[in-house]
Amino acid sequence: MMAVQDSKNRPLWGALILVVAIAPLFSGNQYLLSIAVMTLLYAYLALSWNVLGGIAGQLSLGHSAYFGIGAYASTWFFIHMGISPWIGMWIGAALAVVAAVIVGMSSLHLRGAYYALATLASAMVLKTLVENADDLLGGPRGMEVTLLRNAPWQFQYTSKEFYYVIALVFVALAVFINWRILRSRYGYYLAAVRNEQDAALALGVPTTRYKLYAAMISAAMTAIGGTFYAQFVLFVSPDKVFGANLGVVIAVVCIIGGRGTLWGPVLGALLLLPSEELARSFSGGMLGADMMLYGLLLMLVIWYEPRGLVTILQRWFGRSDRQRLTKQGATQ
Amino acid sequence: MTTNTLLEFKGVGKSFGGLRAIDNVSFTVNEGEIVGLIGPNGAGKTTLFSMASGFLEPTDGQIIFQGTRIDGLNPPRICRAGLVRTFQIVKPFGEMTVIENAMVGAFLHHARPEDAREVAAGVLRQVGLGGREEQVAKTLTLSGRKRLEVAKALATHPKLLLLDEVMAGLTTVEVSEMLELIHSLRASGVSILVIEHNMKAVMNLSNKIVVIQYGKKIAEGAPAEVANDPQVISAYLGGEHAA
Amino acid sequence: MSTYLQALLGGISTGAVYGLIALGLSLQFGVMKIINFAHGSFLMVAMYVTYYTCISLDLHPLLAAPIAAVALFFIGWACQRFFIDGIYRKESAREPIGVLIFTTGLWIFLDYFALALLGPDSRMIDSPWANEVVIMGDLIFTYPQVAGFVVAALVTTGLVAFMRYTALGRAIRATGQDREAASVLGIDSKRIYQLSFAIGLGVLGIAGALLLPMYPVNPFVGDIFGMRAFVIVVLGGIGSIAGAFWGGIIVGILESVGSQLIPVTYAEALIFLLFLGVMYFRPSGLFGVEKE
Repeated sequence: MMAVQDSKNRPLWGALILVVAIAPLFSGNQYLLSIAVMTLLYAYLALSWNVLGGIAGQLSLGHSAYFGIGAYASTWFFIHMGISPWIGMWIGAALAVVAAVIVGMSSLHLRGAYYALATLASAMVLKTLVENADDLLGGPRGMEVTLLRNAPWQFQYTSKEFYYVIALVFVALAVFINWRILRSRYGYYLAAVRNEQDAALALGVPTTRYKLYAAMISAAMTAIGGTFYAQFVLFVSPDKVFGANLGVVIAVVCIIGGRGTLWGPVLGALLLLPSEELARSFSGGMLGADMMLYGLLLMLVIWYEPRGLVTILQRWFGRSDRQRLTKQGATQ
Repeated sequence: MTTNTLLEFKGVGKSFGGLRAIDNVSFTVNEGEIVGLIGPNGAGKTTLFSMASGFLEPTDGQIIFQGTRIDGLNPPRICRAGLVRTFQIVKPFGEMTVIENAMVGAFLHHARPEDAREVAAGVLRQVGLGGREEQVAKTLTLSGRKRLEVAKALATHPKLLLLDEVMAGLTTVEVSEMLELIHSLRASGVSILVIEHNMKAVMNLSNKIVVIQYGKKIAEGAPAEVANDPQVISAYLGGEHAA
Repeated sequence: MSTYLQALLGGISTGAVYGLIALGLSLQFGVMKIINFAHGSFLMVAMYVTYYTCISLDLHPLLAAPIAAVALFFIGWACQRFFIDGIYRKESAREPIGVLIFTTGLWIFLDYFALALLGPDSRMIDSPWANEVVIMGDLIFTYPQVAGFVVAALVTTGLVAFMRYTALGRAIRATGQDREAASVLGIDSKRIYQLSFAIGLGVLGIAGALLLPMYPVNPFVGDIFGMRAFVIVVLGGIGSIAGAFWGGIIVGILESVGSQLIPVTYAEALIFLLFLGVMYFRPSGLFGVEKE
């Protein structure tokens, strides 16, 4: 969706994004940085989800499974075998891919809502298994990441700036991956599958296999996000990283922003995470205010513009429908 | 046989539970031919298409394409072998543009998006959709969608094209445009098997006509022959009319 | 042995209530082809309505049932009329993802609104009736269990009869099968949808009243029951009201007998595994009215 950025304005937009992205690093405000890091994390997770849920159009509500696998894997290998989370991250990604294949093979042939429920059910089964693995994984209480204070090679640092920069890099990479997929043959094929699966089959697209690939890529990316989270908060537990809420929120962020688009997931996170924080502070600690906001915004967006924020913004900036849809390439 | 046999149905049968939808159907499509497949509604014509293109598996018999058995193979493999089908109820990739639709077909043999786009543009010109490349597919008229359906299939460089009621719902002018298109396709080397209810169109197009009723073949031959076959006439008097 | 028999029969009675919960979902999907992810949340609403009706009017839970039913009926009607209908008509009939996502938002909103409004604590009805038992030989049944089964069975039978023998019921079934054909016959699909959705939630109201004596209510009680409802719907076949009843019984039995055999901590996963199993082996359900 480069449509908002005209070719002649592109350097200007690029510079603006760069400035906005780097600004928080100079604030010195740890609280602000914390929110910024979480916003970037969710942007990253939404971008990861986008590969399967947006571009391939498979509404997965169980991505918490992959997030949790990533968080637990890197943490376990770090605590028990001293392997740096930078390496453990890849182990987590590999395990998540295996999980994605298992889940995918048993559910990708299901239609819309059944697929969504099957992914949710799978994630919940995994959560129960982890909760019951007291000896191996710490059970419901979870595991703590050994505090090392400043140890960048072990993916830890005391200042939030460290995590902010890494998160920024992750988001940039995720955007890049989405971008490459969208302009490639694979991206067109996924869009075809999303629109009309039978017609895609008839034109030679190996639909099941390609959906599975999308699931695998998405799972691996999400797992890496899980490792980041584990290293940021230095603690993992079934509730925090395998919870059903998380899986739903990731999907919601991407959908509100505009699923299947390049910048939708980022916009979704930019809108929702700070709002959530504001809702929390302004509601005077009213329980659940942030989630209520998510639910409300989701309903509003689906009501007014199911294609999400990206499309709403494009309408405000006056692009015609025709131009918008083509500049996005093989997306909505 | 002096001409090459491209597609052969050999004693093909299909049962759905207790229902015998297709029974012992055999015929061939030769290279360079346009074969018309006609018959009353519900006779099983689309079922034959689905079996040939891999969407259904025959219960008995064989389907042979260019000398190799294809019955039971999946649609992408058959498509890659050079046999492509269109759908009776057209299935455009609605949210994508016209050219993107055609590109999906073109990608089969052209991995790079630039190449696929070029091939797609060419195919669109061939079917008369040149100039509409950037239009969103779901906004096309029925005639446009039918052409797009042909374009998508054409972009895969098929040897054999299965056209399922591609004239249904078109005006007389649009029908003759489509006829021209199909003739030009054959001239460019694509063999075609058409299902049609429009009798004039079928007679115009086909080298050979196969008539299916209640899942069985009841006639096969040159258009004039078949048109005068008493069995065919009685099959139609009970049901369909020429468009 | 008698523990298993007890569990079996207990499971049948809870299962009947589960079937009632699933019934509304099955009806909605059968008629409108929509998936309502907020179904569990509506059950939660029904249970809270019952709870507050009981304590403020000092009513017996069974008497609160009609009140809950009527309240939910209107909520259902309003929901369909003002929200769901709008989205439904805007999108492709084949794959109503928009409604799915909208009801997901509704689910989240309702759950957390309840949390904000009423707090996280579980509440239970304190009526003495709820603790009374019927004793038959070695077997003990609480009144709520018996009432649950009887009322659920009655309501289900009543609804099946309604669908089969009344003109309105037939109109609903016709619309579910073929909306256009039904409209040719003069059936207004909009009103039918409103009615179906409303009936579905009204039944949920009764189910909530039946459930409350057996189960405490909290803002998230709907989540696990909602999941159960989906399992039951796919087990019993989409659109089949009788199927929902029998599916509910099966799930009830599996749950209560199952919890005798496996540790409690795994018990929740049982429902999810059941869902996955059904999806994998028999997606069209045991009484499948519709095919995938």
